[in-house]
Amino acid sequence: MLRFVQILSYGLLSGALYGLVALGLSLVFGVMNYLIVAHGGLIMLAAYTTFWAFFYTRIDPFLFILVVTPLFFIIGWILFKILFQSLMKFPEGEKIKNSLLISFGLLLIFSNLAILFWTADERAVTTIYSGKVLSVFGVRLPYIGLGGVAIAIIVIIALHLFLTRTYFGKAIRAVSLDHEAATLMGINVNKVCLVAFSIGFALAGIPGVITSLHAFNPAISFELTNKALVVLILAGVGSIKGVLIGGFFLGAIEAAGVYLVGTPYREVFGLILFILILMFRPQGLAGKRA
Amino acid sequence: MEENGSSKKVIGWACVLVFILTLSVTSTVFAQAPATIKLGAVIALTGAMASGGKDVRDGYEIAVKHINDAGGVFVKEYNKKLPIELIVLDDESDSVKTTTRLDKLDSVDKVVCYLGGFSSDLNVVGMSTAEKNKVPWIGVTVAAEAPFKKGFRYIFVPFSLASDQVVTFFDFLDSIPKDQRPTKLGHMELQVDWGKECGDYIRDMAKKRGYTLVADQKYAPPTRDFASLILDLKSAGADVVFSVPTPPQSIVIVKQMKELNYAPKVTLFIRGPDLSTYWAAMGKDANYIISDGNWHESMPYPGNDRVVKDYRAKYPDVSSIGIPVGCSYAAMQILAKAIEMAGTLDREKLRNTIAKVEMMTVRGPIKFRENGSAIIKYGFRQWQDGKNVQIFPKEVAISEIRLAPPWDKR
Amino acid sequence: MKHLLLIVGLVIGLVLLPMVVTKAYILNLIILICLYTTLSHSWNILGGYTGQISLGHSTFFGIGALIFRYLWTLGTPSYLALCGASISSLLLASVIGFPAFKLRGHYFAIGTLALSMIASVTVQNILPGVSFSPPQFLSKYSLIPIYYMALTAALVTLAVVSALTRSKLGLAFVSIREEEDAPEAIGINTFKYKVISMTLSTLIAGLGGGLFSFYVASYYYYVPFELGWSFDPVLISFIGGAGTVAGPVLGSIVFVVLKELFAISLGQMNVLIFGIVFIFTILFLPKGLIGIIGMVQGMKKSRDRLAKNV
Repeated sequence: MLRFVQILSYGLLSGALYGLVALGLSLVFGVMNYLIVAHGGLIMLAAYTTFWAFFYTRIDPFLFILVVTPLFFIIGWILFKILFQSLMKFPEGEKIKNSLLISFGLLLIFSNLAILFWTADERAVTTIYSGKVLSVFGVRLPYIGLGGVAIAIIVIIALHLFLTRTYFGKAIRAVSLDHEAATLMGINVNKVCLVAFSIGFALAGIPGVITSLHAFNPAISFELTNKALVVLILAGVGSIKGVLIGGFFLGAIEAAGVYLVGTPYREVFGLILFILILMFRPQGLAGKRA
Repeated sequence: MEENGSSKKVIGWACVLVFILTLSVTSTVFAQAPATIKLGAVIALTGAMASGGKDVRDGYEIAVKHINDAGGVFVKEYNKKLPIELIVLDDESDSVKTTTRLDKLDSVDKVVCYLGGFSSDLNVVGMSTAEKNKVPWIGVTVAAEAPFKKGFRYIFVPFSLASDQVVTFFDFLDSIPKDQRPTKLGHMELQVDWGKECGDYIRDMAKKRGYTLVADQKYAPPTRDFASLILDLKSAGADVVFSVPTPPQSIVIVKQMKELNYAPKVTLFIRGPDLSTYWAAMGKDANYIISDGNWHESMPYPGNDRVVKDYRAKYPDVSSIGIPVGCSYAAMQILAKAIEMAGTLDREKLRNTIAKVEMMTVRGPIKFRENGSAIIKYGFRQWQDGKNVQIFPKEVAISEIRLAPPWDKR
Repeated sequence: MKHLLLIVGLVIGLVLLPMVVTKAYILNLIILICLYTTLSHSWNILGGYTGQISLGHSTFFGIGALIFRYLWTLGTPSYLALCGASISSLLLASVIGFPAFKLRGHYFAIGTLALSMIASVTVQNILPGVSFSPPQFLSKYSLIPIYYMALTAALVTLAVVSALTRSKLGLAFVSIREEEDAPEAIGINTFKYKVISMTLSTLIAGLGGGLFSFYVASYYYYVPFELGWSFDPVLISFIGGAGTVAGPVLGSIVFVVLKELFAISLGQMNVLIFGIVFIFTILFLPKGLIGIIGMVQGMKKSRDRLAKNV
């Protein structure tokens, strides 16, 4: 029993990271139909940034979130203006397609720049509290994992408040519902998308920091993007809270998979259940019916 | 339907494009001079395997520099020394590209011999390609034994194979004084060909060598969470662990072992911790981890200090030099010797000569078997306070093995 | 009519090529172009014409390779094994592909992505080793029969897609792409046509997989199931021009040749440069490479008009 709870706990801790990984992708897609598959690459770059910052200054990664987030916000701002602004005028299908293609190119660029600058060697950040755990009734909960859960919850709450209580947040929600109606209401759709896009990039910084505390190399860009896409669809397009729920859900299913079919088939188990869930709920766990 | 007429026009333009490009590629073929010994290598410079690919390439390049500084290799057929020209292409860690680019090196560049790339995944395919092209192939960082059972004639691998690794592993355990020796073996089998071969040898030999296999688990390359495996090893009381994880896994497993408070006396991960960046990634938690020791910068073999000197001149900040560097250097040494012995650049004669080479390299003595594998000296390294030192075998060890204490006592 | 002559001329040229050009490298490149053309068009039928964006084609490609290898090593003649590969792909699709149509749009895309991830992990676990070419084939390995099989596969594929563009079937596909629900309203059974589309698509994907297995002497069993085989045809079709006959062909040529040129000349930076070129292509040619032709035609027209007005 204890063994099962231990494995499940690890699954849930992973799940928090899964949710964070998908968050930025989900926001940007929901608001403006841009599918930024480079998201995994951004997370990877954030992990490297954290690693080098830690290497030279020994700054704590969790504190570094306060630096990474605005930094990536700015990167998002710049990339939107250069590459993605021109796509705004296209119809939905074209927007998805072109944003997908451009960000795929970005993904290739990011991962290869990382290899060129920092080699493909495996990296990780190990702090003094790495490996230390909180023991609850014999179940060992790593502090880093718990930190990840805490961050995930804080971010979701902050995002929720931003989207519901601030003017800009409400503007973002209006735009994600209907671009034309939003324009008629006097909202500058371009500006809103610019900001939402940049927030999406900023949201890549956070899982990047947490990933740096495990193990990473340039190739995880692709792995993370795949994970983000699965969680995005599992949660359902258009739901921010759903993303975290989807993440936890996936983590839990994978843990059950380890228990039932063994470690080599953990991902397979999770994905099969993912597909089955979609069969019964084609709009995802918390998505809005088309 | 749309664009029917223009589709055809496009096809017309496409054929023009194809012919122009074909011409440009074929025309470069004629600009060749037989004034160098052309060697070709397809190595993972980008993609998932790029970390080791760099080391393999560095070893080759330093060797070529040393050989060319001395004027080159004496080829009796032309009665002069010819410099080596090494053409390195990237296979993007994609085994299909390994094949096509090796084919290019054969049909366009007409290389005399192939040099291998990095990792079994790519090299096994490269070896098959060499066989089909009838071009000799000498490479390292291949531990899978499957290719050697196929009757291939053109492959030469001066490197440890799965059987070497497992046998030496037991020799290594035997060398630990009996009162401290761990005897309960925990095995985690990576579901790749090399991993399974090691697993089969372990299962076959453990009891005969006097060790008990108390845990035998499986995992796969995408596995990122080892809680279940570690809990099994822990509850079975395994005090020595053997596995061949991928580099990311070699970090995650140890981190999770610390979290779950599992500290076997001996942890041997053949691949992963051998990378020089492992210490930067793990910090003190890397201590006591044992990994591959095909070669070490401290080895007393002739010419080794020169290799280390040149490598460190290029990369002054590296804490410990990766294994492939010395091994690929040795491969080039063997090839140069074979060319000299053969006196010609003919591929068939070269193939026959490589098979007969028996020499001392920077990683020790080498002699090939009939099937292309080699009799080599194999050993292990261990991370000790920031340094990755050779601890076995005794002849080349520069430090003693340290058995790992429990996590709270470190 | 002169278009037809041009195509026939091109085909004859390609058929006669191996007698003139013996450089294995050139033949390799053309084989790869044919392989990618076949696979990209298999995606194009479902994605470009019918609008169902699949990210799971590596599964059907992979099973084609697997079954081909199996049949071929047992002694089946290569073209027969190729048919077997094709059919096996369709059989797999009937089990996991058709039910996927319950999902729409992005959900279908990611659902098929999940399928390909499941397939690649499962195959790696069950068959972690290398599929070696049988020794008797390895010693007699020649690119010539492979070249002709590749040409055959590509030409058959192009013929199918061409015929599609002229048929009512193709029209039905496009109407589903343009407006998912409208065709239902006028009595077209969208599910039935999606199934037909996927049938053609997976048959051709299996064909591509079989060709891959015939071409690559030895490879790890999991390699044809890798996700790159799902993504590359999507990229190639879009870059070339999805929903057209020539698009995937152009895209394949550029993809193979450009990547090769970069790999030879740019060393470690080759994929990076490719990514940059890729982005530029999308920004300036949103309709794909096919758009170049449109632009050239447009320029010619306006130049003619100017000339007339002088």
